[in-house]
Amino acid sequence: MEEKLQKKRQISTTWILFIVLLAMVAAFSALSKDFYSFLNLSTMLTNISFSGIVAGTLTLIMITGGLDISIGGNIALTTCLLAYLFNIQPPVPAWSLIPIALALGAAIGAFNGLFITQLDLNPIITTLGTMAVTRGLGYVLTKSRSILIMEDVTGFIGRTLIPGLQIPMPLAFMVVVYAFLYFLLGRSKFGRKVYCIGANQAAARASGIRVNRVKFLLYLLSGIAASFSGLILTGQTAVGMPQHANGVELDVITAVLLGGTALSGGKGDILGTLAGVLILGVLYNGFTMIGFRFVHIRVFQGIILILIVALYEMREKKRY
Amino acid sequence: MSNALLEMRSISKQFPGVQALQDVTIDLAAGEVLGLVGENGAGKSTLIKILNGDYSMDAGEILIEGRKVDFRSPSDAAEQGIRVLYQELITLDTLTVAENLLVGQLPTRRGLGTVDWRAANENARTVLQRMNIDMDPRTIVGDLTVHQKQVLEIAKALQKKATILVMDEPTAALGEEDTQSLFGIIRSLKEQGVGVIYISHRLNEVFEITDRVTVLRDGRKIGTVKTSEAGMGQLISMMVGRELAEFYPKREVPVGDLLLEVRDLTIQGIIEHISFSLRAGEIVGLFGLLGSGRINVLRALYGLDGYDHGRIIVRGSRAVIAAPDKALGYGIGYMPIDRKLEGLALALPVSTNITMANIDAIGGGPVLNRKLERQKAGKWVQDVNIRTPDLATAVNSLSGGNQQKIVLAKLLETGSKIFLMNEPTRGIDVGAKVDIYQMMENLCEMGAGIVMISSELPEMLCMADRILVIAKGRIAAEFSHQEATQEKLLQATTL
Amino acid sequence: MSNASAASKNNLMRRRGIGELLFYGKSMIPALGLLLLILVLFFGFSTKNFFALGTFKAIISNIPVIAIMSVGMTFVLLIGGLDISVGSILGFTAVNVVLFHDLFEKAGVPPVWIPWLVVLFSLVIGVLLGTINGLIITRVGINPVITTLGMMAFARGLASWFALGFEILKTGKITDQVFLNIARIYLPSSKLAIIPITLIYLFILYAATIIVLRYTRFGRNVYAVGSNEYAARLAGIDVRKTKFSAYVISGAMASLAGVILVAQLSLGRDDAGLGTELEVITAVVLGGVSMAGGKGNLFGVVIAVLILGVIRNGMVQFQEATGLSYYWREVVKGLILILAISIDAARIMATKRRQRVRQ
Repeated sequence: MEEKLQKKRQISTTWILFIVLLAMVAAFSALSKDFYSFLNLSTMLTNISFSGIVAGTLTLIMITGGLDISIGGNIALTTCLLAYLFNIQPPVPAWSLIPIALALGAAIGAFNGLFITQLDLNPIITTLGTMAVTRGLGYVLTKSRSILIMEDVTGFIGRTLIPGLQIPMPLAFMVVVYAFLYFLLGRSKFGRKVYCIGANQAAARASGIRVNRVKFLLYLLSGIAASFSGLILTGQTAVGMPQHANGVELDVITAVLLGGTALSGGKGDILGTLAGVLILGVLYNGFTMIGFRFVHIRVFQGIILILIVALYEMREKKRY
Repeated sequence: MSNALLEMRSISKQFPGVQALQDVTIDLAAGEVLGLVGENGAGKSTLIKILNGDYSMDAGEILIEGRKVDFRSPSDAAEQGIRVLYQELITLDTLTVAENLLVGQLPTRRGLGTVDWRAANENARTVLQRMNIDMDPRTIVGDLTVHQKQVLEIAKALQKKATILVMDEPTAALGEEDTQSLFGIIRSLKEQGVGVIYISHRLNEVFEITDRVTVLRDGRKIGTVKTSEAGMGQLISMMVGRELAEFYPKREVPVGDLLLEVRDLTIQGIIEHISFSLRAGEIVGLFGLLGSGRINVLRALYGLDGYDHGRIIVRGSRAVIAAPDKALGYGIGYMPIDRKLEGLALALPVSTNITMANIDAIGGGPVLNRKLERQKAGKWVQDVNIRTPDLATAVNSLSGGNQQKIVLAKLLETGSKIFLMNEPTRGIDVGAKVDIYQMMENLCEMGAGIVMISSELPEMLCMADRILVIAKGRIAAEFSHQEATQEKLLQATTL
Repeated sequence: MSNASAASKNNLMRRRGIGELLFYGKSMIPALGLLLLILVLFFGFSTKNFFALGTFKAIISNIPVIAIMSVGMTFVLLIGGLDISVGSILGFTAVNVVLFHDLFEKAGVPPVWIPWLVVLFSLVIGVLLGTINGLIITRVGINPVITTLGMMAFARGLASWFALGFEILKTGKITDQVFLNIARIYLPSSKLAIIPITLIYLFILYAATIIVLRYTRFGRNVYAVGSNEYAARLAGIDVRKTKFSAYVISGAMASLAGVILVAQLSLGRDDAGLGTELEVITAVVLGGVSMAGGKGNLFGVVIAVLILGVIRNGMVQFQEATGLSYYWREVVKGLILILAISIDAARIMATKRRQRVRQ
């Protein structure tokens, strides 16, 4: 009975978030005539998709109590590598760009996963190091410049609109990814294991769940998702540069925390993260439309992050 | 009694459903070592927690040197000179001995206010010398052995002017040499007028170091004897009471094939050359005191901890068990001693917990078949008689007995044939205990084998077909169901 | 009692192999010293000008910023926490240095006083931001990572905000020589210019911190809290205040580093200190300060800072000699961090293994 009540409270959080989202959309539309335009919405949703995908995989990692802040570096490196390979003589064939990107992501994810699970390293610091390594490699490849990559495969992923519905392709990918993650976390055996690890890692281990293997796979998944986002970004901007995705970690972590996932692990769900991603995306876009600049938003981001966590924390304490 | 250092008079304490202490009176003189013995659940720890200020008493009074005292918290008790040394040592491992002794009150030089390390080390040296310890105060505590850390805790207590020291199972993790060393320290404490309450299951040690012994049983004081005048048999019969009639009729189960063979299982410094076998339908009991290594054996067999040497043979073939999932693969399941720590995910629902050890079997393919899960969970809830409003209830809202049954159900769901149970009825009510015994019997009838650890002697004598007594990391004795008695088991632990 | 002494003697006399001495021993210093030596030799023989006074000077002038922030980070790691906002606090301070300087100049304050005032106000900023971190972590109870992550965004955002709003921050240049000299004077005189004044600052700072950590009650409380918070609390130490202080110190050090950086570069921009969190954490962990808390000291950190400085300069020269891209520096930094925490983790695992208990 209590669990049902608990579930209700959790669902209602997600519902509240979606209501907040709608309210914000309404508010911004009223405040700025450019907000509710097709161009803006389309751009906004594309931007959201780019960071939304990694927010999804990060949710799983955070449920198990881990963290991955190397995603920004991963994304940047992906764009740089693709652009670099496209511009060497002879350039790599266009169809190979996707597998190359995914392989890179897998390599980075595997690296993270190995060090964190086998050596029991602090995930924050480890992925901080990986972030530096990947972004640094991006700088090495491009010598700190931007390299143009204008071709159809990445263009398809990042720049196309689905005809008829006029939906940006990145958004479609995000929907697919979220659907996949929703089922993975909520309905698959693997997802069950993730939740068990998050709820009580010692009990999960004693129940025969291969904790290290699950965690490793989560970091692997995160790496692949990040480089897929890199593909999207490459397509969107047609440029590979090491400064890409600077600060995306902050956006993503804030979104996941907003969605109700706890930093200490155990709780969390994909729909909540989706709500969080959408709310933040609308917030930033809306503020930009009203006239705030990126730097102002950065300042608020910091405050919002702490407020969100403080709010959730106080709610937990109220229960007891 | 004006020369009693400590008197606890007519202490009573009740917890929901159980009378932990009933009218218990003990007294302790300065410079005396009083042994406090009794089975698990006799009330020893409750009594000490009251003395320590952790619990309040329902009735009774505490007098120190004739004065009535009232404790609200451990710091009150500490102020009155009472210090309890528990199993878990609270040390600052990265700092030195001197610093641990003086933490929070490091001596400073006049004027500058800077820490005077020379004075600190001198101070520490003095305290240690008073206890006849030769330890360099500049040693990092993390490098000390468990015994040395214990000694440090005692020194710390003296430093804070403790006059009444309670030691709870101090020799559990010690070897012979260190135990003698500890006794030497206790003797010098006596000379300084400190009163010591010595709690231990190790009766031969109790005989060696105590002046008098108080025996508790089922929350009451049975009696106090002068150690020099008492005999081991007398003490044991006081602890154990009359020969308990079997309160649970055990069925005769035919013993079948060899399920498990353990040969020379060794963990360096922990357990040595543990060898035994388990047959289908059998319950083998592992009995041992705290620190005997019995838990290490079970954990090694399940792959939770590694082992250094030995062979494990499951149904005739060699098994290499590096992790719990491997053990489960061989058909070995484990019921941990602490269900909240290692047995259950308290925030998750009943059905999730029951299926946690066999997730891959909830339907074919990668998808989790929720309907099948509900069926499985429902079946076990019925079979094991788990009382829960429904399958989605979070486990933390259920009673201890039902929680333990869920752990058992989880084990049963794995379809294991070999069950390693670590205190299967710990902390649960009688009704639930009977249910669990019933399940254990059912399992045996179906051809499973159980290795059981229990520190409750009646339970062990009742349920086990064979009992292996483990002491100091080795198998000390083996008894069949017929020949085993409580006295024999306890005696065997002293070997 | 001879038994106790025999036991303790036996334990300490356990023979230790080279591997253990280097990595599991009490101090990282032998290993670090060895690493520094290897690096110096490597760069010395693979580039042309490494063994030159110019190199020495370059390295010395590169390390103050990281070295100063490492002091703050040491306090934070010792209490078992983490502060990833230090780079942003530095950046925010850098911007404010230019602003304050401009303000004071325009207000007609005599140039001799300006550096002092700027330093003072900058310290206030650092202390303020560090206080906010400390309060949120110890009073509201939010995880240090999230708190300092939020502060990182906040401070960096604020710095950029200022940079947009003030004309002078378009270039962020300071030309006032009096101010710049706080980081540029050489001793003993302008003719015999060997020791940069920043080295003196570092010496004083490190000496003072070593004394605080070893010889003051506060310093010992820091170690106690990091070693075993519960035991420290039982002993009567104000755990909350100790933790809070560590974050304040971290903020103050970051702002001090910001002042020095601006004086060195004569430039105060909002991207100052970007990515320095990584270097500082690397330096401190490599220097033997454990992330578990309660263990480590500044002696190792000094060598670690030198190692990072040698690598930084060495790689520049390496690039000139071999054409290898300078940008490998970031990659190397990241790898060293992972190496440093791996070593730390290995040491922690070895300790846990030694403490197996019979149950």
